[in-house]
Amino acid sequence: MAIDALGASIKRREDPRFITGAGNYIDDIKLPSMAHMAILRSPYAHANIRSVDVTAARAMPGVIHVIVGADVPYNPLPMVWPAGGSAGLRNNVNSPRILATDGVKWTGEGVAAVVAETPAQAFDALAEIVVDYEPLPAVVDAEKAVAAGAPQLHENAPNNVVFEWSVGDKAGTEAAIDTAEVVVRQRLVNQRLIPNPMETRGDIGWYNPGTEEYTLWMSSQTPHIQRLLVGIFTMGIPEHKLRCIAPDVGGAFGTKIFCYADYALVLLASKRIGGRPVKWIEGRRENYQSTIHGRDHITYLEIAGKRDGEITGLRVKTLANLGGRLSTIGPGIPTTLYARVLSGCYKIPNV
Amino acid sequence: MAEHVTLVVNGQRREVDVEPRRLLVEVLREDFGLTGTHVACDTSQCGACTVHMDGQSVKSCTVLAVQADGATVTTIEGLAAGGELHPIQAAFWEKHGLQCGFCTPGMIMSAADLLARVPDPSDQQIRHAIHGNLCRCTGYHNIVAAIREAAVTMHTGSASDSGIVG
Repeated sequence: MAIDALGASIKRREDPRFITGAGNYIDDIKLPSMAHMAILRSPYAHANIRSVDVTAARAMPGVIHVIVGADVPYNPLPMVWPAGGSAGLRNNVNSPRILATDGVKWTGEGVAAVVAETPAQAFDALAEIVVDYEPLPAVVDAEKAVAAGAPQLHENAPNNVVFEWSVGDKAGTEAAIDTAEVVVRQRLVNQRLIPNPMETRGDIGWYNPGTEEYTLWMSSQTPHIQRLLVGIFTMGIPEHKLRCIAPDVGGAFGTKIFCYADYALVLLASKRIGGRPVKWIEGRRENYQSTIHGRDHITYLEIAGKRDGEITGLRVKTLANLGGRLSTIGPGIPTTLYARVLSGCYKIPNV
Repeated sequence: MAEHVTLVVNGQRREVDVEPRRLLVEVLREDFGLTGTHVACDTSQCGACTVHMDGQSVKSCTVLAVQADGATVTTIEGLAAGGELHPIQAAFWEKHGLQCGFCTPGMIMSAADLLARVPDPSDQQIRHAIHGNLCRCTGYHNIVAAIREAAVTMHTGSASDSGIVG
């Protein structure tokens, strides 16, 4: 029967399972013989790693397997959205490895992973891993990061600049500002934020040794894309050998778009332990440290206008903090997703 | 060293051997398979794990399983009697009191605790009652409206209006 939906209050089909506790979120999935993974994360924002000793962790009760960076045969995570345009190909790609090898560039970067019979045993074993760090100076403020004498993160990004990019009508905007009746100048800080969904991230990896196929259950907004990013770009396995399943997702706010190291890690762990499924559920602290953040822009803006209030031009210079390593689409956000919509809903002739 | 714990969950007597450090929410989810009760914040702030213990709402991530020995526990799975939605559940559906659904079970259990004590609460009382439950998608406006609607239904036996199931 056809329903005239316009103007009607439509009840959602998915609600009955959520209001009765019958939803199926990632941590609700329990597979036969499933093992549990925990990730040891760097307490330093910037440090060299001299050594990682997992001998004691391997001997802890319930521990099945321990992985360190040097054991991971995969590529670093893909960065798939360079700024392009006037930045050309000068997007200096320093994306995260599945686990850090010689050094860490942000607080929360993964250093080792433990697979155990229970989550508690995996966490207990993390405490037994000994990492010899050489702490290095860190800088978290974007303006300080590009100032003279700032700690340098990557050799291929001098002065911590990943790329410079511009868009718009430069001459027209300059003329509008030069001839304006009024120019308003402002420094605007759009603070860094943690998207903070109610459900943290999590995934279950299963490698089937019989068919050599992988299945990845993931609290993700982009399971289709991850088949390409995790399968082909990171692990080097073809798409038809990897199935990605997103069950009910308990909020995301964009964080579950991105490609994360744990996706490849649970699949690798499952393969290493003979095809037992491996579950990893992110803690809230981990969510703050290792799932992507947003914003963190420092903007200098100039608005040209007439005395009657009509805006005739807008010039914006923004310093966007892309973090210690590039996320999946990091460079695309402060460029195409931001600069091209700067005028918002206003009709501004020169931007 | 395991401790033996006996409790009644949603009307069923359950027994389990637990490590003393294990939480009530872990036993509900992992040992009894009652995954409607969620863990979200790890810090007892968000209320997604709210259940009733001996008639009072508690955050089950802040109760050790051994503390619940001998208790009667009701979870979101035990709220609907005989397959019929509880009026609070029906009102959350009707009033769009949820989106991703992750906070919803805890929100509903807190609302049930309130309406058992205060049958006709003011909006201020509703907001106070759920101030230990966090929601990130929906915002609280529709949740408050749902709880208000449920209070009316539980008084009169019928909802104020009905929607269309799409």
